[in-house]
Amino acid sequence: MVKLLGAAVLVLASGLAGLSVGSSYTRRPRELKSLQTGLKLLATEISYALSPLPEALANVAARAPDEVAPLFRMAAGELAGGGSAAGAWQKACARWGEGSSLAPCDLALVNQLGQALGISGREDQLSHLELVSGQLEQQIAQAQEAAAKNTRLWNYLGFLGGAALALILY
Amino acid sequence: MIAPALIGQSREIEPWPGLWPFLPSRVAGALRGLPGSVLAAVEEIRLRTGRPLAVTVAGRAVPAGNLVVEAADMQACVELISASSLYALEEELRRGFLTLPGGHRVGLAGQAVLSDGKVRALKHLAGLNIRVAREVKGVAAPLVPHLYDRKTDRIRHTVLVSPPGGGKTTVLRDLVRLLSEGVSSLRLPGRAVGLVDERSEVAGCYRGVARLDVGPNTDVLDNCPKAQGLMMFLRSMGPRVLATDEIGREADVDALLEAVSAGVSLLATAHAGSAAELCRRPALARLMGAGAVERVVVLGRTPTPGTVVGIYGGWPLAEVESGG
Repeated sequence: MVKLLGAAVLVLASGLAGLSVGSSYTRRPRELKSLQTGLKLLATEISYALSPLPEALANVAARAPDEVAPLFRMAAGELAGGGSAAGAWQKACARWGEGSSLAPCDLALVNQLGQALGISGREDQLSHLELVSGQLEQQIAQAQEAAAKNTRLWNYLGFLGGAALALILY
Repeated sequence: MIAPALIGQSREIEPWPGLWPFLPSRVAGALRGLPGSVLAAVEEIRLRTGRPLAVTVAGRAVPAGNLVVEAADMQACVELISASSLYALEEELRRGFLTLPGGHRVGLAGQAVLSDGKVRALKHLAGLNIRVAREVKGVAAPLVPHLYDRKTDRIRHTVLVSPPGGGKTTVLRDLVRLLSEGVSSLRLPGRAVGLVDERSEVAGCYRGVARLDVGPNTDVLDNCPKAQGLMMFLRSMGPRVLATDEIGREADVDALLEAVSAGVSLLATAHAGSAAELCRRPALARLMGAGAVERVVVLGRTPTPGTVVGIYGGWPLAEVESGG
């Protein structure tokens, strides 16, 4: 009876771990798309509203999808505390990145945007934002492909792996 | 001397407190190392990439410590003065200067970006000239009796004249404040003043609100071309005095002549070393010839900026009061 209970716990734990890994594959393209939406909002703030960067970031935070709003909110907060836009953006990226499902290469892409933020004219700012947005597009396609391949795999692998382990140990 | 000294406030209070947050740490550190008397008298702070940091004191460039301004200092300063939003300052980049809260004006030098042969913006900024705005209340008080005609209860059309750095803007700002507030000792009631502040230097407007004291009855058209601004005020705001900084173009003179015929008193400043030099400027000679200038106040730098050298009137100009 105890063995049976142990085996059930093992299958359940392993299954949940598999589901969690699987869902991170689903979350990544969603977060990338949200990020792209956030950057488009920022481009609008810069090109039409001409809002100063701290205000622009706060406005984007208020309107961006929930997944990425904290990134813009943290960057606005950091910038309001003084220092350079690049430093504020990179700190916010690092903090936000810890809880996100983005791959390191995605984060590097977002991080690199900080180098250009706010230090040039409008057209230059827009072309930087467009460039990053275009690169995100590629990452989204790649992430979607990886999600289609891996989500189901990890969902099954968790439960089946747990079951196999339970059988061996039984 | 008619006007008291503009400078030389005590070191107890750190001079120009509003400016420090816009200076990168290395630059601020070098400036804080200057003797208090120099710091209090600083007129300009000049940053040039690859060159020593310098300040202007009494019209002369003085090195500020041994600091050589690096590209990173320049970048940091540009970020601070633009609130990391250079893209929002295209108009300022086109004109070559921007105004900080507190009225401090920053002149910009770099590489011009042209469009149809006109400067569209500046990039690769490599030179900044921060002009410290000085608000010296009361500096223009001794001038008011010379400009107020009690019989007709009007202010005489006046042009303040000095070479650059002579204290014109500071005196104009205080004059505007006094006329707007009124001077009880002269039984001069306050009156509506329209201030066309094309370079945001007189009222130090930031986001449209005057940050320097220009009086309770003063309306400010910030960042507005003088000729257009003067006409706008005449049509809509009913001023009794119209004030503006640095006139000299034909278009300014046309607008000023129009204002004179509308019964408004004029208060303006112009670059010129002396009354004779002023007469040699064609547009201004036309203004004076038309009787639109009743008093020319010549200001000098010695012993301090804002010192009245002489007051002239009539046409051709004749001295009515000597400053010496």
